[in-house]
Amino acid sequence: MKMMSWGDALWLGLTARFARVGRLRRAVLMLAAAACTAAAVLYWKQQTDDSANRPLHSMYSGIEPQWSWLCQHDRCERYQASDTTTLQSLQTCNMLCASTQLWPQPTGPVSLASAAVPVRSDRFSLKVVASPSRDVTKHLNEAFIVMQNHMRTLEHGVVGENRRSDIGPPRDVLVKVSVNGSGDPRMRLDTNESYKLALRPSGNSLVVDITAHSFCGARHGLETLLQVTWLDPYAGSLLILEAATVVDAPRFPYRGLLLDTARNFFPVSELLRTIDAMAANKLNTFHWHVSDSQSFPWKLDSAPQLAQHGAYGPGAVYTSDDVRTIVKYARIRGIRVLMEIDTPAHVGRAFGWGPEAGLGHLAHCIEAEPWSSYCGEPPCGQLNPRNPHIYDLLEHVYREIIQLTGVDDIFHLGGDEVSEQCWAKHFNDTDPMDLWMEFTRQAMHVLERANGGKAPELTLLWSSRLTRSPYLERLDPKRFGVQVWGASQWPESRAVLDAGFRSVISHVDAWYLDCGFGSWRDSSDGHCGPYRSWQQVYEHRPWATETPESAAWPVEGGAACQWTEQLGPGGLDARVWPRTAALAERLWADRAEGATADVYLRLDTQRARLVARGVRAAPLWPRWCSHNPHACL
Amino acid sequence: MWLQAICIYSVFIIIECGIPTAAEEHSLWRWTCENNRCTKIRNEPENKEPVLSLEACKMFCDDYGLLWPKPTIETNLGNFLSKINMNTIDIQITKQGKSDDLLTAAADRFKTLVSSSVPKGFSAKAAGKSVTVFLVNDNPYIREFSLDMDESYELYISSTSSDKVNATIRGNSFFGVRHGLETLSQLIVYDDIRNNLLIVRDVTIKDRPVYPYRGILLDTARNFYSIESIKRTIDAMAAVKLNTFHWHITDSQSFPLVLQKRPNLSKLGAYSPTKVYTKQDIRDVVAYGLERGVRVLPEFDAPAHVGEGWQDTGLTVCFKAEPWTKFCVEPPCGQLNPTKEELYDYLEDIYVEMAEAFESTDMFHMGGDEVSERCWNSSEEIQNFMIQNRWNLDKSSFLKLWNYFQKNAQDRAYKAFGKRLPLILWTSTLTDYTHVEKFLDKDEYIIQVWTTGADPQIQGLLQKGYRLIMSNYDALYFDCGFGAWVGSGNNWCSPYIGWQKVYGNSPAVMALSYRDQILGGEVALWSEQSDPATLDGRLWPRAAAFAERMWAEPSTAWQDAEHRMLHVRERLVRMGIQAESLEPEWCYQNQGLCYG
Repeated sequence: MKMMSWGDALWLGLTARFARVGRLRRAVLMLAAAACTAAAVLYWKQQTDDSANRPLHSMYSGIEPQWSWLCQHDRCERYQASDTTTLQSLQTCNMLCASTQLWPQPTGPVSLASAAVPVRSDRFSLKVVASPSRDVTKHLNEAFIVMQNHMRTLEHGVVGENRRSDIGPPRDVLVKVSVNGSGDPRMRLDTNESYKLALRPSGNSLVVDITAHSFCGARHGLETLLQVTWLDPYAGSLLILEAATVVDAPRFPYRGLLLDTARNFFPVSELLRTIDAMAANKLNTFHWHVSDSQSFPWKLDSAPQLAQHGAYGPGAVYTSDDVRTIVKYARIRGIRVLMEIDTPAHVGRAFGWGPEAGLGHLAHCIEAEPWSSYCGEPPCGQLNPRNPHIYDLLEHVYREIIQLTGVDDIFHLGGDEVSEQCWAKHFNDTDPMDLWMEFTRQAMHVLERANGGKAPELTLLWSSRLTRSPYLERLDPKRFGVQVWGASQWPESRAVLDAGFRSVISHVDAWYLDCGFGSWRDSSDGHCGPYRSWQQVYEHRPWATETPESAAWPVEGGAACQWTEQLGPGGLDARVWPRTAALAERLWADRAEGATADVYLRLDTQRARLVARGVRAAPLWPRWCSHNPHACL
Repeated sequence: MWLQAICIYSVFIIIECGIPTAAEEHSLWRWTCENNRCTKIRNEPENKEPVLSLEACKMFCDDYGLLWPKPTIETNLGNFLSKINMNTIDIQITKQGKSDDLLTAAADRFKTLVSSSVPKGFSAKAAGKSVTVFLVNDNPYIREFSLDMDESYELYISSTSSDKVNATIRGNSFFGVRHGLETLSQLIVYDDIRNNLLIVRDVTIKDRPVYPYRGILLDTARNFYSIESIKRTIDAMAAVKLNTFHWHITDSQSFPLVLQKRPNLSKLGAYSPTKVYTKQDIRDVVAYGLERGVRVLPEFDAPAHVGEGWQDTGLTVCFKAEPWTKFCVEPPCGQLNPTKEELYDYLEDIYVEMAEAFESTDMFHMGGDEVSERCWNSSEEIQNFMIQNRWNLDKSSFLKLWNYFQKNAQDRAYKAFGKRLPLILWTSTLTDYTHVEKFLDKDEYIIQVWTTGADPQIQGLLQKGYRLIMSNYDALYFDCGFGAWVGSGNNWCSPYIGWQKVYGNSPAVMALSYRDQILGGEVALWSEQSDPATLDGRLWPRAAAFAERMWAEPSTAWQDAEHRMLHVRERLVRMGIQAESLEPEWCYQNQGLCYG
């Protein structure tokens, strides 16, 4: 069999592929007459003619592979290893066959080689070609190490001695990164997250060019580079596509996941793992709903009483150092940490120490009974809008949030589910809605003070009665945005958008991940069942409705919400993943198609990537369906 | 009123052993038992009352303390808690016999459980009374599972002197004594205010299960589970006194069971050479189960639900037939060809090796789930066979064919196991009560019901004298409620089944006057959308709710069990089971305030 030289392969590869946006087919390199052996031949092209003619499975030591996958008619078909002369793992077949296997699907032109070469994590090196600031350079270096560590984790997955000796030596990979744009490494509302990636052989090594306008964009490029690198369990080695070009940018600037750490406590390690999984899907906002009426686990330096009175116990507390750790970890992964201390409702015993400190009642209705009269779920509690000390306290809280997270262009004030009855009981001289409006104004005022006299560009409120007519008109769309959680068909969910408020979509009927597990207070099916499948998450495109107004909606993006009344640390991964990955592609690529066959296959691969990263994501289907792609579709 | 008094007395005993510590003074919260619930209150500096931790409070604020499942005959927990030293627990086995090794293993497990009652990040002080546990097994020669094994036990705790606590557990078999140790471990709680282990001091408990068969089914064919994750499941089962791990080991998607005589089945049928169960793996699980009072029951599902692994045998029909919706309920299709004589030799080999691997089982599950006549009818060979037998090709003839298969398979099963052991089949058209006796002898077969609890089949089968195991999907299929993996929407048996419904699912109510024919029940985790990543959360703590229903068949509803249930969930988590959370932790700390 005649081997083709690198130059030929590359030439063929580059001239043969012209991918179009939306239809991302790889060009098949016609290297050998027997198409089914092409891929295997390609990545073992360093071997001598002699060894290439031996049956491939005789080259294995240890456990002999059972299956071989061959790309036929753009699908990977499974064969008994003993029935074929070509041995190819499922991972490699998937990577070299029809689908791009990238997640989320890039939005610009993509071309990918259908050939792979061996690499090793420690043979990757970084060269920062251009960087607008020292800070960006430092972040690039750290992000590169994160990528390398993930590759190393993959390499640790090699089992036993199941390693071929003759796939050729691993290539050196030089990753050249140029950032031409913002010197600020933070994820900000105006961050340009686009990037271009070009991977090509150069002599005996590979060169990767990543160009971006921000650190975050370059980081996304590294994530894509990681996705074209995989562990071949048969080769016992990492493989990488030998050439690739990707041009990519997200459709929406805000792509988030909310985690509630108040209904049940989650250790820092769980949060970090979640953030890492978000990075794998190019999500950019970790919305940390840190407190609620049930508990207040964050021990602020400026107001430690809140956690002292509100945490579940000494083992269920986040310190400022914990927050710093989380923020730093997230920043290297292109993710902002948006901390939300929900007020004026959804507060509890954490605010119960006012009287003994001589500050009067900071909150009312704390654990009031019967709870259904004063709140949406037990326990009740609502801040006292007439106590000036509460605004001093909030200023401290806001200042500390901004200092610790470094997020000053976007802020979340909460504003979820205020009970008019609670306030009506204590203030019978004023309309509770006026109290609420006044509270929001004052909160905004101290937020400005906490933020150095400047209002954040976008201050989010949960959708509520306050964001409905006639109150909505009293809010300034230049300052406030709305996180819309109501069902997509509710008129008020649309009214907010029609009125021109910048919004983050979290429709309960599509993107609430806590739904469908029965009620926790009785034996009914629960308030928001049924369960939202990943397909439902994926196919939700409320901005693409038939109404003419929707085209002009100022949608910043969306967030999946993981409320945790019925979730503890152990169940987190499987509840959130891979469904949030489905959301990530919706918000990144917003492909018009729904959950098509290609989406199943790519998501299944992405799920495997998450599992390899240590995330216990739920399986999509029986493993048989992964082994027989298309048979279950 | 008297309950409140008890709490105060009990604490009096705790602090009798030492002056209040700094930790106690600084504890911001304490709990007090009022109106049968523990209330969280501020521990004011001027407080003169004893400072109770949450668990200490709960132990006396409910007739059944923190016990799960609740004992059925007599429960008296006395009024006192004593501080004990974990390092001085001594276990004495007083009667000797061939089950001694099991009892020794159970004693080791008990010690592990006691140490896991200390939450992460805490450590118990090595101070307090010493504990001696006497295990009295009146039948030390029994170590075999059976449907009429005696799982009852009695447990007594008393304090003989100021520095000693004695516990005695008496049972009629290893299985009963082992349950007693589980109960004893639940009477030891951790006081997180003073960092002490406490034991309930004056206890009389007499207990036995209502139903003899209390199981969990795990499907390891749709997705593979590691041996380690199976053992973890058995550990959790033992903690709530479940006694049967039903191993649905093969299906049409994969065949992970390694057989020496028929190696091709797993070679062709496993997902990979590492995703297999060898005979040694299974024996290991079986031994692990035996030490925990859990029988490991094998199922070989046939004649449907086969496929991968059988490729080269020529013994299947419609394997991977398309469109699959015509020939089976989920891809890939596949069914054994009952007309092949060689098939029964194959089955016998499988059964023989299963009998060797699942060495302690006293029953065998033969499957019989979801047979498609269309699949059989698609084979000319089968059609010819039927015509030769002067059967036509209608529904009742295919039942005859199925019966022909079942009779042959049954003979081979008896031969393989060397005894006429009880056989189990899923409900199907073959087990329809209108004609079941034509095919299946009620003394030979146990029927496992998977249709709804309201299915008239249940009464029909009971009236004909059949013994049943209840797995009605509307309450006991734990895979329900997720997105569909083929097609759109949510999966077929949605919605998700909350623990309250599981708890309320009473076989006695379904059986009415035929309650004695109900052997028990079984939770099923089919694994199309589950693997080791989701295992613990799918099963636990819902299977614990099921365990109390099976053990005690309580006349009360879930509301009365809620706070013990929240605690058993915490216990499971401390044992290393990633059980799902049922409610905000706030509800656990504030009993009675999260009502609907």
